[in-house]
Amino acid sequence: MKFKLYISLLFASFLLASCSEDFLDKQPEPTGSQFLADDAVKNKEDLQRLLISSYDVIANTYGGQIQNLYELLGDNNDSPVSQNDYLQVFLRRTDVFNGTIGGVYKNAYITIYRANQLILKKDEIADITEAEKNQLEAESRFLRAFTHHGILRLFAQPVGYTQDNSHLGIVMRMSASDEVGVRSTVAECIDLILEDLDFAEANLPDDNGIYATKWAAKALKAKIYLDLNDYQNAAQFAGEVINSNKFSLLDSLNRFTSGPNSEQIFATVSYNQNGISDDRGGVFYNYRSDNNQNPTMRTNASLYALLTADTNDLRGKEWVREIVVGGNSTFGVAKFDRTFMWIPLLHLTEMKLTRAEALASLGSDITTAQNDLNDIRNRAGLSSIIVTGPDLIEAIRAERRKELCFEGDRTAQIKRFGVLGQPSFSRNAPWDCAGMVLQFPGQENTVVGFELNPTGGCN
Amino acid sequence: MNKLLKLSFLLLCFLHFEGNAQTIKGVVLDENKEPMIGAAVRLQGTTIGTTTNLDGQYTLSNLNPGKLTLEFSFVGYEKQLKTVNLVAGQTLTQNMNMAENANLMNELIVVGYGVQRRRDVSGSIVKLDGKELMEVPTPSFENGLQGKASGLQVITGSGAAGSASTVRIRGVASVSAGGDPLYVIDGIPITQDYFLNGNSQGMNNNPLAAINPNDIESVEVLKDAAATGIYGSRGSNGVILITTKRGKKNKGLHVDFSTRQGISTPTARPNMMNSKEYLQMYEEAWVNDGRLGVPVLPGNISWADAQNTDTDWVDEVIGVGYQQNYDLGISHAGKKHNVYGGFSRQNDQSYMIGNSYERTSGRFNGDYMPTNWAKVSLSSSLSQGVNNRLPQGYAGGLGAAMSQALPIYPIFHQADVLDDDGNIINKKGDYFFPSNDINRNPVAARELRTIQSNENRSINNLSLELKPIKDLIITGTGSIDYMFWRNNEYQKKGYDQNNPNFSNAYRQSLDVFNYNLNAVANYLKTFKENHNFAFMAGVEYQDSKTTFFPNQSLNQIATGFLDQNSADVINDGNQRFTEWNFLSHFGRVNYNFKNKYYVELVGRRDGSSRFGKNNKYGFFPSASAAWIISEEAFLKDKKVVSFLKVKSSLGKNGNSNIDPYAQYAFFGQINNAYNGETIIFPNADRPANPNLKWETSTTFDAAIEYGLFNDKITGEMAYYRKQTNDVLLNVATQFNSGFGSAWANVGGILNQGFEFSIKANVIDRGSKFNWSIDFNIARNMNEVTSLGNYTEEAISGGTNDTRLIIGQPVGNNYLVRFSHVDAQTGRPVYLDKQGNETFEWSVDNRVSTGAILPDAIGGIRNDFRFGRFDVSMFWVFVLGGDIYDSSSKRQLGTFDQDGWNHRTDHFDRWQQPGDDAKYPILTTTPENHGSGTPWINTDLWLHDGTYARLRNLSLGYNLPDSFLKKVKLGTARISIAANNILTLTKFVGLDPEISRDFENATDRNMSPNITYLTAPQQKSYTFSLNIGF
Repeated sequence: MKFKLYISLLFASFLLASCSEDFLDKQPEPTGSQFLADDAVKNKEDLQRLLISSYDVIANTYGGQIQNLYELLGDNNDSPVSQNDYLQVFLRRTDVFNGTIGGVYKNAYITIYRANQLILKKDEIADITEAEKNQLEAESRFLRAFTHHGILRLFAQPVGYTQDNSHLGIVMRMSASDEVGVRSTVAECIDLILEDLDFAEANLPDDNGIYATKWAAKALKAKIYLDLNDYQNAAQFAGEVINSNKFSLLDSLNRFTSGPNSEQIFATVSYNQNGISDDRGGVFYNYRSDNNQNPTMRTNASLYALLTADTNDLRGKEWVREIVVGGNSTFGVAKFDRTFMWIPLLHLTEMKLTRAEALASLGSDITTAQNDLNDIRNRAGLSSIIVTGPDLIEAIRAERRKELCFEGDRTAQIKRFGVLGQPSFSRNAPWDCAGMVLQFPGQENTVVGFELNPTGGCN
Repeated sequence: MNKLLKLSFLLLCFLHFEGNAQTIKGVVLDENKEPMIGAAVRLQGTTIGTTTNLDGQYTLSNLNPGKLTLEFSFVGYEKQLKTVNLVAGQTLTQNMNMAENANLMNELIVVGYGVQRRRDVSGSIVKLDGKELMEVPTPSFENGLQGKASGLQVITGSGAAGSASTVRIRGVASVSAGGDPLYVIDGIPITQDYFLNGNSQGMNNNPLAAINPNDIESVEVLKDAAATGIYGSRGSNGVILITTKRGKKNKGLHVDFSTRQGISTPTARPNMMNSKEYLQMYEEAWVNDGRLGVPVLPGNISWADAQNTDTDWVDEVIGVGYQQNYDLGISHAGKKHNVYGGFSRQNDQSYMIGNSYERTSGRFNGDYMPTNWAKVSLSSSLSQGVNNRLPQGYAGGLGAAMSQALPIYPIFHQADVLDDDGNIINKKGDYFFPSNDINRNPVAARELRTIQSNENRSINNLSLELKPIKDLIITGTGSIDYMFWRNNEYQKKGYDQNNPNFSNAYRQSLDVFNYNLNAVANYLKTFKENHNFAFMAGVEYQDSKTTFFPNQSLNQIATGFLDQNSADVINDGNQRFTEWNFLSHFGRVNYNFKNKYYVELVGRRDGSSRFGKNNKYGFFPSASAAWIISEEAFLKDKKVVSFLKVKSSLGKNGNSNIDPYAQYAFFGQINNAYNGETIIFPNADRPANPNLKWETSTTFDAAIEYGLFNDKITGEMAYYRKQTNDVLLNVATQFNSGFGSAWANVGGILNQGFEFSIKANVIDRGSKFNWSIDFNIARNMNEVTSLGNYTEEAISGGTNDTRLIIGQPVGNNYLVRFSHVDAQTGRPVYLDKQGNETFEWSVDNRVSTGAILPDAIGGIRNDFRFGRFDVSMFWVFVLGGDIYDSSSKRQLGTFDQDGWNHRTDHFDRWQQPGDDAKYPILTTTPENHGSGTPWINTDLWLHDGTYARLRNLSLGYNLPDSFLKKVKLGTARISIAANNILTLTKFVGLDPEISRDFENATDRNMSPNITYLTAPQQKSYTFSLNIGF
């Protein structure tokens, strides 16, 4: 009897003992490509790697992904082919299910989240100096401002749409938190973006390889102040960049080179060396018509006419081409007919056009404005023109449309002109109709309290 | 006083003396004259009793002389009484033959970690005989449960061989956590992950397909908290307990062999347009749009070539399927042992050419009792499932024949194709690839590519049962469920359009090692005769580890499925694994008074690696009570009511069937990323959630079990109310948070309903004629009660536009309403949110339009027996609920440049002013249908899902004994059956029993009744032979 009892007890205790509670911690094993977030950032090198990951997403968002959306709202492009999401944007009937819009939007906030993580994590690292911390923060805040600004222009009516900019802007994510995202007013958005840029400008270095410098911060400021029709500041910051002599206009028209060039103030890079091929030209290649008779993205007849109006205009010769298939003619784009493009997101041409228009609008230093304009014209094979007043402004704007076509600039200008009270239309739709602003992706609306954009009104 | 004392003493002495004198002994035998071990022998009305030993012998001594009544009892056997007259000094030999108890109420029911008599069960459990699962040829055993148990919904996935079914017990209470019941085979919760291979080629893996239905002795479906409470954090969606066959006690040698042969066709044939019809409709759309000239056709086909081609792709991809099944079972049982060995082979070639599932399996189960206080048991199975797969739905195969394979495309080039220089690009007779897309030619895709999944599976248990003292049983069990899964793909030359001279092979492999250890103690005690207690306490540890082996490929030079030894095999990525575990303590107390009043208390404490660090342990209690009213004097031995029991339970349990690492957030690392540099970054999948835990269901259940007219009619009526809180949601988060989704315990879901079942022997004339009916119906009402701070956009069922909306059932069809076709313009008229008519289709106007959950489900079965013949007719039915025919938005929508074929019901379209048509004006551009995008979801594609299906009609004949004796067989039966031959439904699509491929568990819970080019079920005719000796 005892024997049985012992056996039973031994048996039972064996099973019971094998179940220690330590077993309940089954954490995933780190692999080369994935590991637990808890202690992922341990040193300065990790911080640097985290920082570059933000640039990485910017490169994925700005390889035409966001620029194409801008252009499709505007008046430079023809109806896109075989891309239903693009068609929706072109028809200015976007809805919450547009995956292409959703991808751009999501990527923007991933950039911002990473930047915010970096700002948080930098204080948890021991082997780092204050100066290094400041630069990391400055770069993060520059990227945050750059991205917020890009999204703001797509998803909200422009500054000046209401007198005090009390209309709704976007969600400003100024720290990594799990709070519900609620849209700020445009006024608040602009203030926060400029605040970030002030810090960035003060703490970013003069030179930083391919990464953000203080000149990038100034250039972005110039761009924003032009949006605000704040000519004084626009001229000043654009001027500072131009006068830094860090940058110079290219002789050739092509600033989408497969490598660095002297016009780039801030650019994303493609990488093609050491056996690594990483082309970040992205969906700019949807324009390519050199290897494709049926490109998704094409220009329309009116811009084609503008670019080719003057037979000397190199842009008409080098950037567009007529495609004839089966007797029907459409207009292709040649501006991006290459591979491994670096995408200049802030560049000297834009600064010169920005300073020119700001000065012309201020009516001060007209000579500089004229010179800036003619620098651009001359390079495009056109002769200098000497005009003043509204004619000068008009000439600068016309040049801007041609020079920056397909780079995602045009729609913001149409809206800016509208804000100034001028009649302004994009393919017959008024600048401020609801459809000129993209609808947010449905995921923004997954929590109570988020306000979607109104839709329609442009047809 | 003194006298009295003396008298007493004398009496005692006398009694003592007498007590030594009288003895009764004997042997207790079963029907086969085999000794019964452990049978109870008792003197009625006393506590004097014993149990039989290994030889079936008993001895009762120290008995008083006189008239005594002996009571012999054994669980599952008819109680026997024998009155004897014992004279002083006598040693009486009284043997007894016991007979198995046919009374249903004494049937043994497997409950978690034990068995109970049916009459003693206070929870809601349906027991099904393994044979019932085998009646209808099914792709997988769980499918055989359809219509058999009230409240159990089984939706067959599709007609593809090996297809997975969606199984739901009492509605849907989960959203992002798996909503399927917990499957437990011989005590081990088995691997049941439908997404081990994600969604591949429009199909999910079926983890249950390799389980051999012929191994199954019985299935118990556990429904309420009293029954499932013992499974704690994993029981809330119900539990399906599977018990495999063992050698029948003391029954000697038995051999059973059966085979089934059958043919199959689809239950419905797609009605796709032929070339002429397609071209006519296409041209009409073209003209309606004001476009001129010869219409430009999809696939770069000229109008003239199109007119000369008419390929019936449906004919090209379907044929007649063939099903064959062989089962052999051998059992032997003796005094100290019983063994069962089984071997089965099944090959189901579906009606889709090239699609089959072959299962080969073997089993050995055995028990050995070396002494009367120890028993060793082993259950062991090994099976292999080989699935020759075809892409399903949108991925190709029959799906392609119903969509992008146009009748104007030829299978082969009709002539040589030359390039500008006169070189031959394609020879006459080469496969034709419209738009260079092989998926538009499903014949070429099938012939040039083979895909095969292999699953090897072994489920094993070893247990030791000890009885150290009377009434105490300690059982220790170790179980292993091992699965090795591999998918092979071979692409012949010509498959890869860009590199037609390449032949490629790909392989994915994984294994799952799932083991379970438990120790359970059972103690039975009766106090003062009428107070019967049963105590159970146990501890259990389960651990499951899935290893994903690197994907392998062999490019350019493959000659078949990948050969591991080739030097050119490329391994992609690292081996990785996931692992989860549970540590549980549980207990149960059963009490009954006079076998009349029952109370049961159950508790389980679960800890799991799946739960966040702030919620490591959960406790799940339940309580139930039952009253067998028919035992009361006022009902006892009444003619009408032979059995009546009321029972009720209340308890909490949970569901934690989620990604084992859902609580964790990850960082990713990519080397040579931007600018050639290494980057690390927070993975945007999800943030960490250290509070993540199980979802909790609180279930109330009340039921009546009845037996009428001497149990000629039996059945059960039940009401239940299950409120699930902390529902696990994998919500879509605001993108501005930096994440795409998050796991949270936020939702609330209420399921309540009624169940009714009745089984009646309508006519019982013995062997002459017998008619019985078995009917069950269940009504479930489902409602989302909370979504926290989330909106209806937060949870969507895959690509299917199903949503969670407060106050509506899970899986709501959230769609723009279609009103009618405008008679003047032919444009579709929609309704806006307020119900006003509009030509504009806008997602802002989506409203709740229906739900995928049925109002009621059930089954009805009629069995007739006359002499040696039997006929059985089994119907299943679904009432209410909606089907979303998602692919019809293209099959009946705009004529797109990328080309889908349309269905012939599209003929009913608007053509000229005044037409009253079902479908709007034909067009090639979505703008004419008021939309900026084609393929729009509206409730025009939403249909009533009500149907009734004759699932099985069979005729059987049992060969006469005289013949059997001649050929030395014990039993022999032949039967023919027709399955799924008749479906009554108003559904305009193919088959109202649908569940398409799923992206994840959320999709599986929210979108079962969605079809997207889903292959209809198999309709089959079978012949069966069963023999035994």
